Amino acid sequence: MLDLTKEIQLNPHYQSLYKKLRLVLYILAISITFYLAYLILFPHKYYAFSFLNPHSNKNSLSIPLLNKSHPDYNGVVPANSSLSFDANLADGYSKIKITLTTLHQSSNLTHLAVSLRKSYQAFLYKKGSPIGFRDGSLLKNNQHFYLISDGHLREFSQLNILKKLGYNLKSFQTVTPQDLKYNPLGSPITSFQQYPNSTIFKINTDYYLLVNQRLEKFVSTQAFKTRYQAQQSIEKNISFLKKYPLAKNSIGFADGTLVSRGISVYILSQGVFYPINNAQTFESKGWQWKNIIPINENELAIYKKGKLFNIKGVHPTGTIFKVLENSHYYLIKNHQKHLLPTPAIANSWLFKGPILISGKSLTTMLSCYLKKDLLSSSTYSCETTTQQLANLIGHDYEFKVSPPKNIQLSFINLDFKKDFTKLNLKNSLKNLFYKIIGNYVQIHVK
Amino acid sequence: MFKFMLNKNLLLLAYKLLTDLLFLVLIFFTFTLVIESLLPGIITSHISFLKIIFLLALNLLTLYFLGHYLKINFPTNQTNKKTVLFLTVLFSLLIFNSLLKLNIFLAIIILFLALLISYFLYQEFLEVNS
Repeated sequence: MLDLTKEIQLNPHYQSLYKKLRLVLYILAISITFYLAYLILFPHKYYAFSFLNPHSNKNSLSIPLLNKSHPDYNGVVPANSSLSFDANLADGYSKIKITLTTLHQSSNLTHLAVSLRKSYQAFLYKKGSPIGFRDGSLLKNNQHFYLISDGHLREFSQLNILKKLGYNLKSFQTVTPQDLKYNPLGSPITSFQQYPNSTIFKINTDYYLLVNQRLEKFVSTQAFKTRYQAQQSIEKNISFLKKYPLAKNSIGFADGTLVSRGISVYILSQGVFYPINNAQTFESKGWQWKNIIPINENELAIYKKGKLFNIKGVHPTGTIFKVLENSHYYLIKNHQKHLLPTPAIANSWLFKGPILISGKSLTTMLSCYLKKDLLSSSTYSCETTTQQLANLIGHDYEFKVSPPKNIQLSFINLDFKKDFTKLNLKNSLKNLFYKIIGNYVQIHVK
Repeated sequence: MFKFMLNKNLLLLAYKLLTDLLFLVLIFFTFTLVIESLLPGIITSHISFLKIIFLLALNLLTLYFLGHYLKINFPTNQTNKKTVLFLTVLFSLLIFNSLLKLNIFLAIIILFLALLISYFLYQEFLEVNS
């Protein structure tokens, strides 16, 4: 073995001791290297929340919710109510250890079940009422012609009115009576003097939408095309602008549109653009690179800048999920998921591919039962494998506890682990390779 | 006990082992630098640079005082050209890698200036002493 200090001579006894100790030192160094490699290739992911410091930056879990609605800042969970908390990951893990610590020793959590499911956080929202066609949709059923105006289904009382207003008969989409059930019935359109709200116009090369009898201009043609098709518009000349006042606001892209400017990618929703922090977040949320629309400075300027969209980010309003098993579509709107009940309705909202999701993720639930830790009188933990959840799309885990008695928690800790398997090793090496490639190769969006 | 502590053979043994440890820590530090430049945070999320540098400094200080106490003097060798070339290439690659997102010409100028400064510092502190 390499002797770096040959010049220093020891007596035979110490020389032999030196050789042994040097061997131990090298074995120790190799062991530490392997241990470090193990930590890198089979990483743990820790999440924690302290009810003693609920606003601390060190809390890696977002604030737990009572009955999925009220933030719980003090850890009190009344009997028969539920406490839920979410952990967002970028890739799959094999095991989860859940540890709950009570504030006082009085609360006994032994045998209390912690249930968990895996999906996208937005898809786990409460179900809202089904949504009908998008405003501005032109529909026909038999010889009845309709416009979706301010969310209402308004019928043209006569074909003559429709023609005089300048609508193109070919732009009306044929639908079934079933499709028409989901927009409340509005008053019929009887006048050809005045256009109903939600009518779309094309003046020169610009598109406008009539909102509250004011013309709102689309910021660009590509923004218009994320909501409507060109044939839905009525062509007018420039003098038409004198007939209706022009609104100050411009209309941007459909909510949930992914756009890029330079090397940055943003998700647009409700007048705000959220910069996506990295490619890992982008891919873990189920978005596809091909759905990104490159935009210019003027198109981005109508949006306010939102906070950085990181791995903890939840799909915003406007996101559309498609359930793999039954091809049902859901639209995320104001923290609820709404069914788009028929394919025709879904088509009026879709402009790019939806985010695929497993319907089973709502019903596939794992449970583990807490046990008291040996070394602490107020700490309870349980461990479960996530094999059953492995094939479900999405990396957001939702945990839920429903105690039969009042309890008060002080800490929640989650430890996600990867098993020492060939598959996990392969995946880790692949991820590392992609990370290195990602650092050196810029992704160009067409 | 005091006698045991001052046992010269034991101190020499400690000196030899600390030299081996220094060699291992230096290798680890070099690999950490290279790996971190490829994937920032991959090792420092487990062991921070501060801890590695602290271990290196502690090791060097102990070696220095122990060597002083034991009156160990190594003949000052001529600078090994191969080592200098290896270190120059390694540091050039590390510096250039950290400047990749800059304009290529700006990166080359910064690299050239960094190497020039390193050369003068080397001459000032090491060549003069030798």
